[in-house]
Amino acid sequence: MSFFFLAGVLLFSAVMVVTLRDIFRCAIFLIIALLAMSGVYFYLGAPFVGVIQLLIYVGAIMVLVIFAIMLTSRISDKLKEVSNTLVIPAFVAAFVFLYFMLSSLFRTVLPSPTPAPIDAVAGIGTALMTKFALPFEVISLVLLAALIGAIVLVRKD
Amino acid sequence: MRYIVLSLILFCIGLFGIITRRNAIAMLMSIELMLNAVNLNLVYFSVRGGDLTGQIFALFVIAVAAAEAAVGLAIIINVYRKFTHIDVERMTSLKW
Amino acid sequence: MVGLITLIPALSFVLIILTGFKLKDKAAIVSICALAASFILSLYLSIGVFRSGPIEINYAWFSLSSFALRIDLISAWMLLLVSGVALLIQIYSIGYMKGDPRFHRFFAYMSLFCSAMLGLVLANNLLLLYIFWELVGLCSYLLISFWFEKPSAAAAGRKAFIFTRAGDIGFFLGILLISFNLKTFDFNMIFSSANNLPSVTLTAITLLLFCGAVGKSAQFPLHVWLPDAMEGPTPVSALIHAATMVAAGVYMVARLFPLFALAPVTLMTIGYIGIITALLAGTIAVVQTDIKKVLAYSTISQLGFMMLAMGSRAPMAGMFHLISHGFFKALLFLGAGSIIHAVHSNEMNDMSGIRRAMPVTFITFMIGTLALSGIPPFSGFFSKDEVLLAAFHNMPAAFGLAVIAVFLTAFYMFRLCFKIFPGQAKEHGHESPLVMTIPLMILAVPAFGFGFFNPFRGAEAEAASRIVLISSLSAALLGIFCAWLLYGLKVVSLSSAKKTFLYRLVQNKYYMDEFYDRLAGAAVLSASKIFSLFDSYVIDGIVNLAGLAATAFASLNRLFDVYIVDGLVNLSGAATMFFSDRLRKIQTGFIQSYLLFIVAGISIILIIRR
Repeated sequence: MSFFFLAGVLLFSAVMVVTLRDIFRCAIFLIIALLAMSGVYFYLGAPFVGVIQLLIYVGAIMVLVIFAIMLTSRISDKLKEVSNTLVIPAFVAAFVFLYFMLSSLFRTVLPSPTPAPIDAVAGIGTALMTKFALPFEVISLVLLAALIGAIVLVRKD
Repeated sequence: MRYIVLSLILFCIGLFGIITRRNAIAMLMSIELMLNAVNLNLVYFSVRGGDLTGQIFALFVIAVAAAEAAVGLAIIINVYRKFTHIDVERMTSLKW
Repeated sequence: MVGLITLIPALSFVLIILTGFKLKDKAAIVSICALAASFILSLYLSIGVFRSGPIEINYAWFSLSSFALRIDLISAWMLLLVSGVALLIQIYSIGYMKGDPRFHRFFAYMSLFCSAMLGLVLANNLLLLYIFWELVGLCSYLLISFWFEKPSAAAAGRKAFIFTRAGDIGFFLGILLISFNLKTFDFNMIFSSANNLPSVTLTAITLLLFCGAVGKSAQFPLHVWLPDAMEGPTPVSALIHAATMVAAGVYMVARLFPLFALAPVTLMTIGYIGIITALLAGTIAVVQTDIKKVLAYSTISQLGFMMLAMGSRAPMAGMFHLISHGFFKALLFLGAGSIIHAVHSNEMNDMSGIRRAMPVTFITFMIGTLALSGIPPFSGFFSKDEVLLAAFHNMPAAFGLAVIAVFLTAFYMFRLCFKIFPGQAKEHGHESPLVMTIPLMILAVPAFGFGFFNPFRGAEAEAASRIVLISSLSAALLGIFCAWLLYGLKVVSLSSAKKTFLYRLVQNKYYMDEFYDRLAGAAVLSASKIFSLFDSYVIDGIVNLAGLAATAFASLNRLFDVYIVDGLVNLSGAATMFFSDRLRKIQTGFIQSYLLFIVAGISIILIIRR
């Protein structure tokens, strides 16, 4: 029950994100969608990911997006068209894609689930330090690069 | 469970958005939607299969999404500074 | 040692050619010494042969044939005749050719000729014979046209070479046939194996070989070159065209007689050609006014006699007549040369009173004339008698004609004598120098006495016949008598006779020269017509065809080039423009359309992979 509620909110917000004229409102709906997403994670049984989602996606990324919106929008922008000429083809393409993916999905037989009662947080932490140590370090490098890059790009000189 | 269906629908919405929206930041937001759909898929299969690899991968995806959003927004700000608009439909200097 | 006989004069020739212009007049000494050496050698070897039989030598040469030489009865006498007479004539030439700018060349050619003639006589196989045969012909050409500044002399040399060459073609074919059938050139082997051949082959071979003799010995119909050859200096005429070279044909038949004896058809042919030649030449000689021409036709006539002897199966009689004729004809020619040298003209009408002016010449010339006419006891009587005997027994029809020829011989020789010897001497008449008269005197000896001992009497001795004796003697005396009547006493005027058809026919030598001219001209014209037709139709046709083919091919190429190649090029250009025009529209510069394409592509893949 709560799944359908969360799913509904998520989907509704997503549709709002892609259709609203005012970009600020788009951003707000995106936040709601991400929050719903986090709820889905919790419902699914992956608490760590849900928390990270809340922390980073909602907390950091959306703040950044809102900053950018503030920096780049003008009052006169509100009068413009929201979508471009490719609406219909895009809709068709997305629909076709969805249709065929779903049909293949309903044709496949998923293997039986193997639930593993693990301590997710401890397990993730251990894995990050052992099996996925290298990607962990690389990610830190990626973040460093993004950090420096963003600063360099936006510098006014 | 049809989390997969959910993730698919979400992905297609994001797809529609990225192709349709004129505002560059809106495109970025649609990208975030798509990434989230993918994350959901990953996490679902991780939970279902008992292997934590999926969740770890989802973490990495989130990290990369953050980095990419930062850089992307920096670029958009630069573009705004140059063109005073971020309407992608008007940015067609590479046209034939 | 045998080979030296030929080799020494050859060396003399080479020496004189290389150093002649330094030696000048002394070149004669080289030549004469060489020839004297040959003569002495020949004498020595011949005496050996007479005593103990033939000598044969074989030097290995190359695989086809060896250097085979042989001295037997007939070749020994030929050696003596050639070297002896040539020696005397060369001594005579010192006087005759004095002052000539090409003096040394004359003696060089003489040496070469002697070398070649001696080699011809010695040869014991066909190849060697043919080589020397051709060499002799070459020397004849060189010596006839010795004074080549005169166009008539140059033409005469060419004529001699061409007509003898025509005969030589037959000769060569005969040699080829022999080598093809018998696989050998050697005489001994030919004689031993020839009777195995079918008679048709034998007849063909011998007829072809006889062709060579027809050319070289001036038989009818190839006799026309000999009178023209009188353009050469008189010693040349004496040596080559009286005594030796022209005798080569007769000698060849005698040499190869064992082969000819197997072909009776050929022998008949030889005999008849001989007598025809003898009569023909005799009739022409009667109306000649040039002293050398008279002697030339006389030579032709006597050669015909020798061939008659061959045809009558009496080669030894023919050889006997050949040797004796060699002596007295050389004598006659040298005498004529002496007269010409004194009078500076060849025409008999310019000569008179020679008897008083040049007594030595007169006496020796008379000796020669009597010998030629067949009056006993001179040598010519005996040799002619042998020939007539053989003809009487084997070819009676020819015998009758031969008697007529004897009459003619005596007639025209005494006509000559009665014209030039009697009468008043001209102012500049004087006897010739010793160097010229001594050979005359020396030659008169055998001309007189050779007949007394006939070395060739032997196997084919025919029974002496009174009929032959009486008929030949009376014919000769009748001839002398008629000549005395017409030219000595001048009984009848001959001017009306000169207008008859017969006279003109004979004087123009039966128009044979004109016939040959027409023949050659017609042959060359028709050949050239054929060739020109061939040229214009076949060759031009081919060339034009090639041109047409080239232009047709070129136009085909042009079509191909214009339509296909240009078409392809234009097509590729147009296609590129067409597609690029359409395809560039994809580059919208609009990133979202790119994304749409990506999605569309993925969808298509999904649909296909379903």
